Parts: sequence; structure tokens; C-alpha cells
Amino acid sequence: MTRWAVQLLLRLSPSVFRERHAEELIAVHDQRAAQTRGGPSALWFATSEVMGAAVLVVRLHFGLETGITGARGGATMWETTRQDVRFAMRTLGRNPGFALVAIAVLALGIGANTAIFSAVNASFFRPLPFGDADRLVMLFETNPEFGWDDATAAPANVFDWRDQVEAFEAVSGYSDFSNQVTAFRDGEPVLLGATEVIGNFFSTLGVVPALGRGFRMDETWEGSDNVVVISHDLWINYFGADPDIVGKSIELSAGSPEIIGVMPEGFSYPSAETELWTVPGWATTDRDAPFFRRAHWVRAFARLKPDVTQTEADAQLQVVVSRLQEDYPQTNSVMGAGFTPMRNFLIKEVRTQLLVLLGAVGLLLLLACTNVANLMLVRANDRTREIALRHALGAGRVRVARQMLVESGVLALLGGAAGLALGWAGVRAIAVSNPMSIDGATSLALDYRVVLFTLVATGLSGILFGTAPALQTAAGDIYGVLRDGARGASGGRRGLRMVSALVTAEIALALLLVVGAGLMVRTFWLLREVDPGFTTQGVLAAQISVPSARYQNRDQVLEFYDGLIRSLEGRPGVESAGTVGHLPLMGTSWTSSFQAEGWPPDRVGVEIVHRRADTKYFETVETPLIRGRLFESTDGPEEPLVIVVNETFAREHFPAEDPIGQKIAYDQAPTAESTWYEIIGIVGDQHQVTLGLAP
Amino acid sequence: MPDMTPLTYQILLALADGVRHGYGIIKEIEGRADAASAPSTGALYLALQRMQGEGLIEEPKSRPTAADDARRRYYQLTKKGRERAMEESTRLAALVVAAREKNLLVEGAS
Repeated sequence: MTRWAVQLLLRLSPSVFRERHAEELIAVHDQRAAQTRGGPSALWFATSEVMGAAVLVVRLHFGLETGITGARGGATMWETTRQDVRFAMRTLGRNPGFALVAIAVLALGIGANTAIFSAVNASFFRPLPFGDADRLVMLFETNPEFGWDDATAAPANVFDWRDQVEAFEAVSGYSDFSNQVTAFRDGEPVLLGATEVIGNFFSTLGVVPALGRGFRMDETWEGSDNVVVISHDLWINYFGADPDIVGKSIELSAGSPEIIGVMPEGFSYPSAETELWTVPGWATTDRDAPFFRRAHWVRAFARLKPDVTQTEADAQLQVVVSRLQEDYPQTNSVMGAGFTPMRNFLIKEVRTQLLVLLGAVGLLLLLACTNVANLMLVRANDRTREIALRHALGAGRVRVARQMLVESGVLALLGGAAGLALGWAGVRAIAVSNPMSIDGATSLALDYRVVLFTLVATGLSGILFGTAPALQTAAGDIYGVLRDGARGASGGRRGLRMVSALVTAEIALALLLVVGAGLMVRTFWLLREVDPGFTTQGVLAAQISVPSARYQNRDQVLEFYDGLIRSLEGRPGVESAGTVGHLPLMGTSWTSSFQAEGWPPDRVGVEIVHRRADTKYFETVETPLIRGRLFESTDGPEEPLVIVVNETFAREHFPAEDPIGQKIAYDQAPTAESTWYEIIGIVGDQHQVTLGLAP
Repeated sequence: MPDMTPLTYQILLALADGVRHGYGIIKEIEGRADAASAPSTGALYLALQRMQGEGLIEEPKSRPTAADDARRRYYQLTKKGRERAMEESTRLAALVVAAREKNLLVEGAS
């Protein structure tokens, strides 16, 4: 392999050297290779031999082999290069229009690449903000019947994995829904982003609080749950970086828990909005309650033991999964589980988008290069006489070609510098708007990887757009040009051929970009055309949370909502007001299986999305009533309980019967304790999850 | 006069006591240091070619032994090469003296 590479490189060396030394060089190489022992020294030898041969070829070709005494009567490599650069600057300065256009085109191409690459860099290569993150895996539940492949898990299952899978050093998790709590500072309410976590959340992630301590496992449960951990930002902005914060309490609408710790700067897992970590305070009796295994809301993760492979861990997990399937057929009969490295999970959503974008800006840079190469070729044609003259005055072909390459290099460097500046601006823009919700985007920065990437992109562009003109000048028919005294005849034709090849490549690339962009616009257009099933015109939405500590029973909650709606409707300019458990298109919430009264046991509807709404909700967002009636104020929390379904539900689950009057229960196998709901009306479809998915 | 590269000096040193071929020069250089700091074969031949052009080394008119491999090229120092090697050695020796005065060189240490 090494020999082959060295031989190949030698074949590229100038014939003067090759005839004289090549054969012997290879023989010596073989002798040395035979004496090299294996291991790292062999690797070192191979690398240095190939590098050495490459350097040899380059130096011989570019006349850089003048060494200590300058015996070739010429300048040293350094001096020649300086000369070339100075000359290149002068030439470019003489034609500032060309230089500016070329630099601007390159800057755009390189800048776009820099910005997008910095996003790729942030999500793909940056270390995760966890200790020993390579051993962290994201756990999820799978269910072929529901089409789940990375679902949140039921807490009871999570605890069983924790207790029974030997390969996991620790298993933890958090409640996967956005949670907000109201805090009071000097009597003024402030909304804070909160995440409910299991007690060993921080220790499993391997993150140590900057102040105080993290949660203990026993604080997961009711009774010892009056504790919170706060983010560094909250500590600075809300508490003025009070050094004695630990042990004080924070006044929330739901009580005044004690602050036990402050997380390090920049840590806000699982979401950028998290400012406060709370514990769920589950009752210890919940552990065996059916809902603890039926409802799936915990995003679980685990830390593998140091010398356990993922395959081993998965094998153990599957054993536990099958045991759970047997022990809890009601809830777990088709429930599987799996895991994926934490990083894969975190970048999964943006991965494709980012790579597509990177591809697109890569094409853009190629386009920029062909453009500049074209400009340079046209200019080279104009300069044939100058170049022929330089040949005539004794400059070698290689020397002139090298001059052209240096000119391209200077252009590329200037373009790269401008591109880096543009890229930096782009990075700031991405960081501020974060269009793809990249984790840690706010800390996007031009680190050494991005700068290195820009440098490589710059170098490649220089070579790309510099080669064609350099080759052309090296091959030009100088005598013809000088004799004719006019524009180069044969050189010109050759140049024209190159220009047209470049134009063809350019058109192909541009077409590719246009088609891609067109498809994107079309997708966007189609999504805009989708009728969401509700109106957004003139509708204002606000999120409120009703803390269970202050509103302890259902009557108090209902009273609060009634009062709220009444006061809203009393305001001038408000036509109607309503409430709903979860607004459409704001992420998924509860889903369930159900069975209707009188259905055979094997007939179940799966994965229906349900929400609670009040009497005025549908009216307020202008979703039409198709048949039956809407909720009325007499429909209360007492029997009979009533629900409204949408058109798709009616069509899919009651194709033959009239859904109105049917009773359903949110259980796969209803029992005497099941709660039954009567369907009273059918409304138009609303897109609940995303516009692209069926309602 | 510009500085001499370490490799150039090593080659001059290797040829100071007689005629050698390329492989012999490498062996000699490796003998003075560990194998990892020996030049790559390409670097050696690049230097040989250059030094020949500069008149520091030349190929002897008669080959050492007739039975030798005909492909091998042998090298020896020219008068100029020997002068340059001596100049460089003097320069390096002066550096060594200076280093010793500043306690950078402990006697007896290799």
C-alpha cells in the first residue's frame, strides 16, 4: 500500500529526477520497510514515506528545491511566493471591478457554508453538557399496534427497568410535557419554565450543581418533594446571584419549596426554556396504581455501566420487557422498549434538515467557484499577450501557471475572510432566531472547527477555480500569440472550450438548486393551503395554569374558569371566549384507546387524541358543528358525561352506525369501574398535531 | 549565507569519512538518532538531488566494488561540501560552548 502510493507519486515527478533516482528510491524504501517492526512505528514510517514522496513531487515541480546556497541563482521559495503575492495584488488592484465581484461571490458561498456548518458543528460535534455522555442512552417504549417507535414511557415501567436491568448503572427521566409555574416576586406574577424530574435526574446525567445539591431519589415521592433546583440564569436574573440562595425558598403559586441547588451556567436540559426543576411528588401508592403503567409520559434515560456494551444492555432490557408483558397483560401486552445513544436522540430531528441544508450551500459554493473560474478564464484570455510576453522574457510555463494559482489563492483568501465575517453574521442570526430549535443554539459560536472548515472550503475553492486558468496559461501557444500579435488564436479556442464546459456545469448546478428550492416552496404552499379546521383570524390565545395547591377540588377549578370566561366576555371588543385543555398544533397531549358500548372485546379504537373543551371553545375558533349539539352549561362533571367527536372519528370508528348516542370508555377492556362518555355531537376536523398529519 | 537544514548537515556528516550510497546514508543517520527522526526516503533523495546541484556532493568516478548492484548511485563530498560541513560544525560547536556556559549541557549526559 505504502509502496504503491510512493510509486504513484514518483510517477508524477519530473522526468529528470525520475530517470535518475526513482528506481533506487523504491529499492531503498523496500529495504527500510523490511526492517520496520510492526505497530505504531510501521504506521509512522508509512505516513512519513508517503508524505515525503508527496513533498518531493511538489517541491520538484514548483522549483522549490533550491536550498541552502541558492545555487540555482534564483530566489528562495519564500521570496518567490512573496513576489507572486505582491504581483497578484497589483494585478487585482488594476482591475478592482473584477476583484470585487469575485470576492463578493466567493464570500457569499463561503459565508453560507460557514453559517450552516456552525449549526452542524453545534449539534453534531459539540460535547453534550453531561458527564461521560457516551454512556448515556435514551430509553423509549415501542408499540407496533400504535405505531410508536420512540414513545415516552409509563413511570411504573421505568422503575422496573431501573430495578431489574443489571446493565444500567442508573435510570432516570422527566415528564415530557411543557410545564409552567407562576412565581411571585414582590407580589408580581412571573411565568417560569419548569420540568418535573425523577430524583436521580442530575446524578444520572453526571451533572453537578454549581451551588448546593441535586435531588435525592427519595424526593421523587410525596412528602419530601417540597424542593426545587434552579438554573444559573434564573439565579442571576431573578435572585441577583445571591450567594446564600441555597436553603431559601421561592414563592410559587403552588407553595414555597426550598431551593436546594443552582445548576451550572448554560445547563438547561431538557429544554432551553427550563429554569426550574421540580420533583413530581407521586404518592407512594401510585407505584402500583394502574394509571402508573397505562399512561406514558416519562422521557426516560439510563447510564450504562462502564464495561457493558449496548448489545448486552439491550438483551437484558428485552428480558425485562417480556417479563412485564406477561405480568401486566392489561397494559403491557404489546409494549416493547429500546434505547439509542443520547446524542442520536438529541440530533435526530434536525439531522436531515441540517445535512440537506449543508448540501445546498455546498452546491452554492460550487456554483460560486465555477462563476469565478469563468471570470478568471475570460480575463486570462484578455491577458494572453501579457503572459506570452512573460514567457518570452524567460519565465517558465510552470512559473507562470504558479503565478495564476497564487492569484486564485489571494482571491480565495480575501473571499474566505469576507465569508468568515458574513458567516459570523449568519451565525448570530441563527442563534437569535434558532429556526430549527437546535439544542444549545444560543451558544453557537465560531470555534476552531468552524474556522478550520472555512479554511478548507476556501482552499478547495481556490484550487477549484484556479486550476482551469492555470492549466490554460501553461498550455497556451505563446509563439503563435506573439507572432500574430493579436488575441491568442489556439489558446483562445482552448479557453472558449473551457468556458463553455464551465457554463454547462454552472447551468446544471443552478438547475439543481432551483428545483430543490422550488420543491420546498411548493411544500410550503401546500401546507398553507391546508384548512386547519379552525380560524386564527382575530383569535387570541393565552396559556394559564391552575395550581392544584390553590384550587383543590373540581368545583373551585370550574368556578375559576367560569369567572374568567365571564369577565373576558364582559370586556368590550370580545365576541366570545372559551377554553380548551390543549390548543391545536401545539404538540401532542393525551391519547388513548377506547371501546364503545356493545363492541366485541377484540374491537378497539387505538390512539385517539382527546382534549377537554368548554361550551364556547368551538364557537370561538369557528369550528363548525356538523350534527348533534355542542356542550352546554348543563353538561357538568356529573353523569351523564358527554363528548364531541370530529368527522374523521365518526367516519373511521362508526362507519355504519350513527355515532351520536353511542357510549365509549377510554379502556381497551372496559370493566364495571370504567367511565362512560356519551357522544352528543360531531364537529369539523381540526389538525391537532401538525398540518401534515391527518386530524 | 542562509542556514543549512539539519538534513543537509546530516548527509554531509554521513559522507565525511568516505563514499556511501543512499541506503548507507540513511543507516548512518538512523544510527545517530532513533528511526522515527530519520528522514523519509523521498526527503533524502530530494536533498541528494539538490545538494548535487549545489555542488556539495558528487558521484565518484570509480565505484567501490565491481560486484555491486549496478543501480546504486554512490556519493562523496566535494571540496566545497567539506568546507561547508566544517563551517557548520564550527558554528554548532560554538553553540555547544555557549550552551555549556549557561548550564544547559550537563557533562557526561548523552
